[in-house]
Amino acid sequence: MSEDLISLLPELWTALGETGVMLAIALSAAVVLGGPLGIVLFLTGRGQLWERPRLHFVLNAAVNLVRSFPFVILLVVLVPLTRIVAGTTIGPLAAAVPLSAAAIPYFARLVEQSVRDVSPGVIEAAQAMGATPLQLIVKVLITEAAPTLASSLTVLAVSFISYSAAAGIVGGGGIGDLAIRFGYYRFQTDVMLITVAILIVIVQSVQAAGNLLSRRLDHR
Amino acid sequence: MIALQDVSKTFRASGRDIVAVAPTTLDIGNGQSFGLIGSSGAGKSTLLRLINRLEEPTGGRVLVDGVDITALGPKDLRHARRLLGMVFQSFNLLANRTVLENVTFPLEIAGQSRTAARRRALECLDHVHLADRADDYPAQLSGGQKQRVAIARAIAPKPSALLCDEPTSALDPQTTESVLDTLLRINRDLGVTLVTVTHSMDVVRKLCDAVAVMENGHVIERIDLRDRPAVATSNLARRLLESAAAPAAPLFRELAHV
Repeated sequence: MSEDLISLLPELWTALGETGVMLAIALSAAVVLGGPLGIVLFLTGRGQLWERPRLHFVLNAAVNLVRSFPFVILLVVLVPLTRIVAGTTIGPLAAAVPLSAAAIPYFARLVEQSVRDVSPGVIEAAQAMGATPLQLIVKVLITEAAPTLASSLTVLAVSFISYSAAAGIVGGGGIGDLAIRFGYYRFQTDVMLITVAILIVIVQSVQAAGNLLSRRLDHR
Repeated sequence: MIALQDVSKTFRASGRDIVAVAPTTLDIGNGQSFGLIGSSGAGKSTLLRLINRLEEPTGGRVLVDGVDITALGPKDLRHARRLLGMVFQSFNLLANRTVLENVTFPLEIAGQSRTAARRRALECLDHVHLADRADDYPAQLSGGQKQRVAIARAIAPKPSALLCDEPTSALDPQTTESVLDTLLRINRDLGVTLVTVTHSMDVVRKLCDAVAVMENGHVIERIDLRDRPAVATSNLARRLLESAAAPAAPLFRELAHV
């Protein structure tokens, strides 16, 4: 192993931790806030249970708006918000704010599409059995869409491992940032290769875990 | 027990009013097995769905055991719906729940304990001869078995009536027999009222003791099939005869000749 790499080992561990923190926060925000948003997007849509054309239009436009931003620009635009929420504009916690802002509408869209695949007949059967709206969401929409939701979460996680590399711009750190700073800017090709290799392993593992979970949940 | 009083449904599509069900009055007695027959688009499924308000009626009233279903708020409607089981053409089972969990579903949402729901569900599965498949998932069953699970699910909350929307239309003739047998037993043994929408004379002949014939949103005739010879005045019988498969014919040939 080269001198470069050995001297970089502590940095590598820190970077992995930073990536972990950023992803954990962004994915949690996506599930906790983006998930319900996706369900509401679905339910307020045309011909659905809580058809609300105006609300649906507004939510839909908002989701599209945030999703239109290239992530790096979103990162900069949201600096004032980041300062309020995280109290600072540098570091992994600060980077988690724009990451969450991007992840929430992203996941909301994925959730909306997943639950749209639930058979309308099954929803109707549950209504005919006297299910409350909450029971319908939890026991029918989410349960029936569970395998697709697991796949959606996997797609989100993989995308945001890559997004988090851009967090380096606000000093967010993380493994992707390490690859750019040392490997790319300093021409330390061996560092770049090893970090990219680590990213490949992480992405493969996340994808494999996601696939396994989705298969476990799928009885169709 | 199920009384439809001038109940009607008008859809609005592309700026035009389309009458799916014209004001209709029908009485379906306790424990009766009642058929609704007609060609597709006659309004029979819509009429059935007006009974548990899967379609909101445009006018009129629906009384079930004396309760005006049409006047109920959301919460009371949910309770009333538990007394009206429903069986669908496409089964509509929950794919990610086991057979047993499908049958416990209506009990679970009604707040029954897990053990009580499980006991009742097994009882119902036994009734449709599928207790041995309790831990399988719907995807592992044949069409006829899926429909029998759907029937077990529908009877689990001990409803007073089952609304069956083309229950055998997605099935081949042999499995149709098994599903009709199951429905018939539920009607005879458990005294559950059946309201069955079908376009098949075979189904009516096997299952029903009275039938209403629908055309263009109107009930044009009601025939009591326990009377022999049954009396039909319209020429619908001939039309239905033509649409029904040959072995289905005898009953309606009999009717058509009157």
